[in-house]
Amino acid sequence: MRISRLTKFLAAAAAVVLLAACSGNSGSSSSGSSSGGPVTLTWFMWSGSDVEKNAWLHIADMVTQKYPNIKIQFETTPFNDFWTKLTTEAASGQAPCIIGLQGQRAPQFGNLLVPLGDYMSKAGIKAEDFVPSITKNLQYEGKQVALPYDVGPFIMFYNKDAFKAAGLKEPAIGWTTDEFMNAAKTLTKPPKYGFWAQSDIGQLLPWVLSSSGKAAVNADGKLDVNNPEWHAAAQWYTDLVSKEKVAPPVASANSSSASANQFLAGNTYMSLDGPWDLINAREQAKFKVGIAPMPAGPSGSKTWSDGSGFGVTQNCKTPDEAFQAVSVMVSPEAESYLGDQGRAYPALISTQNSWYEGNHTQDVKPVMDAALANATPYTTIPTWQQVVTTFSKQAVATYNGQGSVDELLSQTQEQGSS
Amino acid sequence: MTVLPADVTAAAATATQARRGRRGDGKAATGFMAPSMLGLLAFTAFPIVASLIIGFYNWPVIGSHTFIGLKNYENLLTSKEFHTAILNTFVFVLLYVPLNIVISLGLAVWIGSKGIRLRGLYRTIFFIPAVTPVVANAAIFSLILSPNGLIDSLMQTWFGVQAPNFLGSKTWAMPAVVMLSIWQGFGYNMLVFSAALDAVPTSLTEAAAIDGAGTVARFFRIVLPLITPSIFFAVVLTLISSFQVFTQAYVLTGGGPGNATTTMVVYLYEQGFQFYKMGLASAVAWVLFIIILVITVFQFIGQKRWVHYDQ
Repeated sequence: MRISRLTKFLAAAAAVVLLAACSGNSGSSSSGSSSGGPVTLTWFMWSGSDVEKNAWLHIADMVTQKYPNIKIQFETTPFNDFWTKLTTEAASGQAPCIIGLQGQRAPQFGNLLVPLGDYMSKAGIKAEDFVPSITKNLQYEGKQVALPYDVGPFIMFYNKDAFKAAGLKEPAIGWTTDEFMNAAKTLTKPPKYGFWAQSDIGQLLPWVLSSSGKAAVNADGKLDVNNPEWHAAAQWYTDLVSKEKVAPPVASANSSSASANQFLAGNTYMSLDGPWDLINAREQAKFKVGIAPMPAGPSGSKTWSDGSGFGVTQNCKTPDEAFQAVSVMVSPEAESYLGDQGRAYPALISTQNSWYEGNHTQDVKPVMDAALANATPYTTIPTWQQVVTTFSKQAVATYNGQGSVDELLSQTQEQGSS
Repeated sequence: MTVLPADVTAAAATATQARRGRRGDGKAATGFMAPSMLGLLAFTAFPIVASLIIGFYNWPVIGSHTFIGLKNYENLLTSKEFHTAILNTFVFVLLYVPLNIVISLGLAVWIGSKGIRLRGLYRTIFFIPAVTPVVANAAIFSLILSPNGLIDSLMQTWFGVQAPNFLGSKTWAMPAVVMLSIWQGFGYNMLVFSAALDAVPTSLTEAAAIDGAGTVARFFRIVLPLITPSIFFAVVLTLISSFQVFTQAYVLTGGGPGNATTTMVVYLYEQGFQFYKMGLASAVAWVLFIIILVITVFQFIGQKRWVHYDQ
């Protein structure tokens, strides 16, 4: 009997230990007092490679150098898993202290974050020092909830070699949709195509903006895509694939086959992309990569821009220190470092030269300036993920001629309103 | 042989001791079992109960939960998308299960036939896709099937025509998912059938041969009936897993184009983990569970007609 009591006790003890280990430091994502004493802050951020991860770790060191009492505990996952993990952590009340936030996700996650207005004015950080479109993107219900480290307008990447070989004038600031169509037709010789059409809604949006000035979300913050302007632009885009045939059939809605970059592979000669991919593209491509702003339509050369920043969660026990850390992460030193390393096109205007100088991209500065000047924030709605998923699934069918533009836009609108 | 009363008492005493001893073992056994029991409770029993409860709620991941009774089930039954998902799942099952069984049985018979050398090697090779991660297989398949992929390039060089856009076409997407699933799944069933075929006594087939039965007759009249228990086992498991098909469709086509490859679990994943409607997703899981349960019960009832357990 004595033995069995002992086993019971041991089993119970083991269970307690296990449970304690499972629950960890539940509810608190930071430890230590908030009066200048040593503090450990968790920082959750995405990264796609070791190089990228090391850049973030370097930024974390910068924080500790400036504020020796703050230690950063860095946690990371690839970009796509990041949002799922963040959601589950937030749901279980274990959100990390500092998180990365992408502008188009602000409506979805903004309510997890602390408004930074008071902190910013105390620390003397001015929103005007950053690119306005991304600062606005990182607001939630009119309040700044994150400070940006990078920004990028969606722009046209083109294959310089192919344009030269075809005797075409290279796309430049001020080029038009007609010139685009002409170039695409001249360049297309199946299986090589002039343009790479993709099923993501962000790929269509710049064309809608340039043709009509309409965005995906209206002034009331509601999704508004089932209207004549979107219909016209989506039909025009569909025709690129199924009527004009200047773009190859769209492969699949999912990443694994879509990630095979048809532009970098040399199978298509123009493609919309962000400057965040430019340095990588120039390293990987076997041809010269040029960039140009969106070709101007009836409404001008308009595009969207998005970027990311850092915010402090409501869950954080030491928001003062967390903001101190964020202020270092978006400081001129940190953003210059990220720009110089080619990790980000800095959102802090004064540091943008680091990106051009560190990566030999001075040639694209006029294009970047022109595109940024004509960029509107990538405004979304809280259920944006439903919009993106529904749109891209149906877009594959519609673009390939197995569904109507009406189906595409009405289904998307329906998802976004439910 | 007579049993003395003293022996009886002694035996009884030992029995009591043994029972006591067993009782002691029982406690130790509980201790040893505790870790896996806790695991089972925490990671299987608890989620099952939780999903049943969550299914009656409007349960966003972040935000407040409200009890809505059977509303989730009502929404599902009236949702066109969910009907499509059920239909797609049944189409997948009807295409995949028979093909899988025929191919794996065919290969098992071929490997087991006389005159085949290096059986072990073939078995290993055919089993490799089954132990390769689905995602890896899917990535390779999408490289093969995409425009400018292997098939497309070969067709362009050989015939000068472009191959169909398999993954981007409503017609071809589901067959592509089925193809990948067969590639992924035939190895396991082949191994099961292979073992069952090896267990068929040669004396029976030889006797039949002497009686004048040909190869085909021997296979269909002797071998096949003898391995029906293994076929039953394979069919039940393959059916259950094919109703739960997810990774192949998700990685290859993302459930598209349109909703052409949105199976029930892809739909569940979308609702639960992309749209964060956990209540609705839990309801989908229970509908799926009930469908699988009913079909499996019918299979067990039906097996009496065709499965032969006696030797």
